[in-house]
Amino acid sequence: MAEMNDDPLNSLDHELSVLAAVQPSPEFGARVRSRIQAEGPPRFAWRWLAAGSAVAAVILVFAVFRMTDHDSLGKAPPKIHADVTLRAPSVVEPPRVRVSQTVRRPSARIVRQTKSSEPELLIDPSLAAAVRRLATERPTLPEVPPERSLDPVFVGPLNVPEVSEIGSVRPQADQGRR
Amino acid sequence: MNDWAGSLESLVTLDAGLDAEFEARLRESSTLAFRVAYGVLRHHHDAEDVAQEAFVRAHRSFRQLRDRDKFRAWLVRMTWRLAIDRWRSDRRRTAREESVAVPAPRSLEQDAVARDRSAHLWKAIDELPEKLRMAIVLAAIQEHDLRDVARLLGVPEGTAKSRVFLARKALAEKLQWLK
Repeated sequence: MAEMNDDPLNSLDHELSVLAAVQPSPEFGARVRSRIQAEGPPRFAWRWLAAGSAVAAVILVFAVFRMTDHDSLGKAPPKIHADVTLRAPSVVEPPRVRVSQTVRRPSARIVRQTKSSEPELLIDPSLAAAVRRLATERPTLPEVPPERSLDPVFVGPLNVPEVSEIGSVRPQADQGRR
Repeated sequence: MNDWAGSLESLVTLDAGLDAEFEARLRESSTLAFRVAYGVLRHHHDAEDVAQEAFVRAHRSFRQLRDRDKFRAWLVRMTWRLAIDRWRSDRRRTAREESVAVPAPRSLEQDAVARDRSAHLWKAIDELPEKLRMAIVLAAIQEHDLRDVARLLGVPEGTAKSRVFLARKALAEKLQWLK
């Protein structure tokens, strides 16, 4: 003990030598075995089969989803975006051309349009008003005057000559021509 | 159908073979795992708990271990990690089991001095960097067989020797005041 106190490293070695001598309790091995048995043996085949079928199911669902998504995008009617905004300008200012930016992302197929408050084209106010009227008002047709009652028309009997008279006249007409 | 039954039978046989192999590994390595855990925790019951948990995990992953010769090193590292986790979460525990190898003191005063000294030694070991700490604990467990230590650490023998040397040097500096 006196020697141990002299050199800390000797004390250290002595202290550490415990680790080479310490033993687990006799029932330690049995406890480990029972715990492993309680957990159940890892079944290689079933676990891998389950994992494989789960992955296959996920892939199948993904493929079906992609196919339906693709079909619906193909059948969808094309969206029409107004490139031109018609407005009646109150103040005459130099024309600004609005550039509508359409961003098409191939993966999501989302079309965006940037907002702009400025008119793209300037048109004549009267023409703009006419177009606006055409769009909002219902067209009115000119009134047709009521029909007048007409007097009945009487047609007199038609005098048709006899067939024999026509035959007797014809030779004379032929001689005159010659 | 016969193929299916045959493959099932071979799997069952494989399982039985693996269980037998694991049983052999458990028998030869249970003390080592316990000592590694004890080297960190210095508590019999906790060390057994941690070693048990390490064996359960090892059993779960035993199939994935390609090189079965490295089972002991694998188990030691797993046990060390689990023990360190437990030690960190339980650092404030005051009632630690006292070292069983402290010689029986002749008086109460000597008893107190020995306990105090042991506590300081272990505190100095606990404060070492983890690599050095693991090296010196394994060297003590393997009774300073540095080849075994290197195998368990998965490093070259020179590296293991260097780590043990550095650990002893650091401890000597820390414990100078005990002289």
